[in-house]
Amino acid sequence: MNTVLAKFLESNKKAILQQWLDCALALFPEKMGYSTPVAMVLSGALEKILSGLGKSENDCQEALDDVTRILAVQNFPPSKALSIFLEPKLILRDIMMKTTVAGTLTQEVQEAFNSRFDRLTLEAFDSYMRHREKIYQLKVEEGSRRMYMALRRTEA
Amino acid sequence: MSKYVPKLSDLKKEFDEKPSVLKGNYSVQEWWDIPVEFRDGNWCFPGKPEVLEDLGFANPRKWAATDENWQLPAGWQKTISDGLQSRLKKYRSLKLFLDSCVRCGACADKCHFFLGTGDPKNMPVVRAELLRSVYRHDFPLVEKILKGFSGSRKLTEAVIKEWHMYFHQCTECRRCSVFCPFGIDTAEITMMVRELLNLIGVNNNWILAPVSNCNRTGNHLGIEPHTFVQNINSLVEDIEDLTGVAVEPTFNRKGAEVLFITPSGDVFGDPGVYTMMGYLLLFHHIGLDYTISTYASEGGNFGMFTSNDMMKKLNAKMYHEAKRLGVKWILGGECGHMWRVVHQYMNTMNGPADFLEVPVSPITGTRFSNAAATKMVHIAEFTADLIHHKKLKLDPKRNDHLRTTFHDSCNVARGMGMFEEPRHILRNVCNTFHEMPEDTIREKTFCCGSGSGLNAEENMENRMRGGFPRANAVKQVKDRHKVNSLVTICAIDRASLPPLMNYWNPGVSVYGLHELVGNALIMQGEKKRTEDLRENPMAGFEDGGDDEE
Amino acid sequence: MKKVLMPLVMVAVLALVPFLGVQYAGLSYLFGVIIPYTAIVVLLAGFLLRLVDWLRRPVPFRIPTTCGQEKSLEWIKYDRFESPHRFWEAAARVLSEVFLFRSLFRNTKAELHKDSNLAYGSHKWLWLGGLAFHWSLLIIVLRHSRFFFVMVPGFTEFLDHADGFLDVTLPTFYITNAVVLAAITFLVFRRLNDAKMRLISLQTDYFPLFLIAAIVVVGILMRYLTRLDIMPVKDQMLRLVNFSFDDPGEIGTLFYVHLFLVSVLAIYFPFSKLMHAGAIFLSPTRNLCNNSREKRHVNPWNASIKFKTYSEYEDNYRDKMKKANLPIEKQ
Repeated sequence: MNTVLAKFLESNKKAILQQWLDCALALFPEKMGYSTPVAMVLSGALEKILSGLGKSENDCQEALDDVTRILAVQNFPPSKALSIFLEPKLILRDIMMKTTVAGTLTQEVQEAFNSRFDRLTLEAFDSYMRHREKIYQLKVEEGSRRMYMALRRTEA
Repeated sequence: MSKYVPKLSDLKKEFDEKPSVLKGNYSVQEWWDIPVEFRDGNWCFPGKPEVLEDLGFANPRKWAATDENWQLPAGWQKTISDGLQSRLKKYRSLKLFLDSCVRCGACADKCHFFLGTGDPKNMPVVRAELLRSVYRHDFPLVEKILKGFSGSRKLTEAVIKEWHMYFHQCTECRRCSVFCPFGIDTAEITMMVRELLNLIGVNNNWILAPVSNCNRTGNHLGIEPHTFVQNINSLVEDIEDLTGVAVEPTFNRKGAEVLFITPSGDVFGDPGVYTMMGYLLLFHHIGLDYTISTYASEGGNFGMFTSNDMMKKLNAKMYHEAKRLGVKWILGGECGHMWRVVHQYMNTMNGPADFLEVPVSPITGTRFSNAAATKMVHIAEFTADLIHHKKLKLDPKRNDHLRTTFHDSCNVARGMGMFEEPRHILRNVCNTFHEMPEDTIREKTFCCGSGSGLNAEENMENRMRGGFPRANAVKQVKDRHKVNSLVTICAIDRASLPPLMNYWNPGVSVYGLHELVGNALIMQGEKKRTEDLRENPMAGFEDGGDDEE
Repeated sequence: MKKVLMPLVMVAVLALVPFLGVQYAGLSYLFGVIIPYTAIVVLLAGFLLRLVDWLRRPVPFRIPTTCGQEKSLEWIKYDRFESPHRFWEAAARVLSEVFLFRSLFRNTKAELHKDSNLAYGSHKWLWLGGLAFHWSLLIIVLRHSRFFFVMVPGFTEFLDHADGFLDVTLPTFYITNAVVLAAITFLVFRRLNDAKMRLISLQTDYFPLFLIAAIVVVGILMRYLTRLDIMPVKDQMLRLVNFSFDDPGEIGTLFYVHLFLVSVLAIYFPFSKLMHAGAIFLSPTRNLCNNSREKRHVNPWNASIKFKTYSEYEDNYRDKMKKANLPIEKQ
């Protein structure tokens, strides 16, 4: 299954990636431009995630972190932010509908793809939450940095 | 097809009906139709009533930006309208900047807040249009006849909310003004709008509380004189523990040659205190005859983020104290907006400083003719001169555990033009220094995202977004050159870059320039130094063991 | 796109007005004499008024945007034009903005490089388009001076030759005509093409572009298509220059359209963003020297404020200061 999926992803990578990136950028108020640092980081990370998918040992934690690190501080709710991990499934269906019979994947492979993305969504949720917690941790740390000398005195 | 896969027609229908972003239908809106939404993390708490009362500011009350009703005072429209009129009379800059924009879009993607949020109202041109649209409605001639033509609108409470949101998402960093063909400076517009908003009690506690503190105790943090002295004395003890050298700062001493003023963050906060230790070591090293004042104990000036009058009021203490103490000139520590005030406003507002002398370095004899009128010298100018004349004994190897890059602070870069001095110092006190990409440094430097009084904790998400372009540039040198230290000469940077780095680039620490100077200085009579001022081991100086943290 | 169509319709209507007026209502005196005089008066008076209106407002603070190293220590080279220290350096800075669009030249755009590192690459299209647009307009206007002098001045002849060196058509083809149209097309297109630009553009941004395009197109039509007889045009222009209120002679209608649109532009000028032509000289972030620490800048209305003096401070904290062994003024 992995080889079939890998092959399929390889040949459709560009199209999937483009659509996926568009979805991600469109989360932002007035669709984030391609030539922005945010778009650059997202496109790099999404590509890493996608190319890691077909491989058996897939460790895309770092890329996942890069994506959620950006999403976790944006002005939209988590449900919207994480929705981008649901998009690939729709994109895949979309592509399947447009390709010829020969190019389609078996149901088994499709389901493998989908379940892989389900798992990825949950992993992304973990990662997103880690970054949210980091924000609160930063607030606490900043408070104590600011009061550094006072805290030192009370400790002494 | 399996039963799990929906039919093509269903999908097509869903695609047509879903307001999908792929269809690119987001540009039908005009910017003034896009609603303003206050959410956690994108606004700062408003000024507390007692703070406003202490300052004599308008409309003290308990409120929050998320409230439906902001309890604006009666007749607020007139207050704003009159306020704008009178400022247009007093500032050619304001009038020109409102009149001359052609909306060419050169500034649009230069703002760090726009790059970090993608919010169109964060484009500098639109930020200014927020005010311009109202100005056009109320003022000039034909535009009034042709309303839809020039995009003008009425001043409503919704506009005030929009102003509050977006003029507190501008750090007055002036990056847009570098790229504008007419030099339109959004900082100037932001300063004016913030003045106007303060007239009707729409404000930011993170700015007003320090202003009130500074007025009362002499510094933003509200440190009273005895605590101020105590703090510095404990730093003196730390220095003795680390180096075996006893430095001896004096306070409020009449007849000293130099009055030293630095932001109070350097006396109180981490990592500012390490920079303070650097200053103390340096002054001891060269035997400078200086004193520190507990009354003018604040270099920073949050008045600048409030109103020009408040800026003047807080700044007045510097000359007042210099005169009382009878010093010859003033030396200023590392700070961003403090230096915008000192360089571009102080002498105009509170000068002439006839009672002071043109600054001359007592060690090198260099006459600082560029500060001949204001009589205040930047510590980086002072130290660069010392290094140039080889008056410092330095061992840059002591900073070998730090692989550095340098962050130009907005105000020092674009409001003063000091680029070479800090770099000259940095190159002489450490061995590894890598510049960030060209278009993110010097006059094109990206703001930390927390300047101009936006570094409130409750504003953290906003700050992380706004600081993203800076963090992204640091990441590049981190990946390419293993940079682990971000060196800066700004107190707000020292407070706000640590969380920014911690979030985007864990493993990069933030340093003040003179902290590195302090590390590198070979003091007379010092003991063997194995740790830097943070008590981290120096690479190659340890008594065996790992040099990693 | 209402904000694009509206200005387009406005320009079309404006072009139609003199056509109908002259062709069918015989209003050649109105369009050939009265309106041009009004327009020139409005332009000159309006421009002057706006300038005076700006100039009479004070510049309270010295706020140049420093885009280069300040003048400080002797051994550090300072940037004369990005951080001017003397008057002539600041003047050069402003003139380089006016003639070379120096700040636009700095324009950058973020882009991904091969090594997958983000860089902010140079992005000069706006600079080039703007420069082409403004310079060709200037040359075209100067070329038109041949209509205002009995004897064609030397520099006009020179411009004419230089501009028409691609001698491919008859009458001579002017490069600037092509350049200005290309530049306008680019400037309109970039406002429509990019989401950011679409959002920030107002009707008042499209209108002058369309108006100038219409003026150029009508001018080109006159010259190359209808081959308008230029002698009566020159006669009429000379009459206007000599403040004559005589009836214009027999001239083709297209000329009236051209002249009317120019008049509209002249009248529109002082009340619109086109005044950036004057504002660029006055911008305090560009035309001031970065020497505020060396020489005191005076604010004519320097606000008088009351600050907290040292003695008030000491009164508040005397006991605490004594305890901390701080010297005090009063016991």
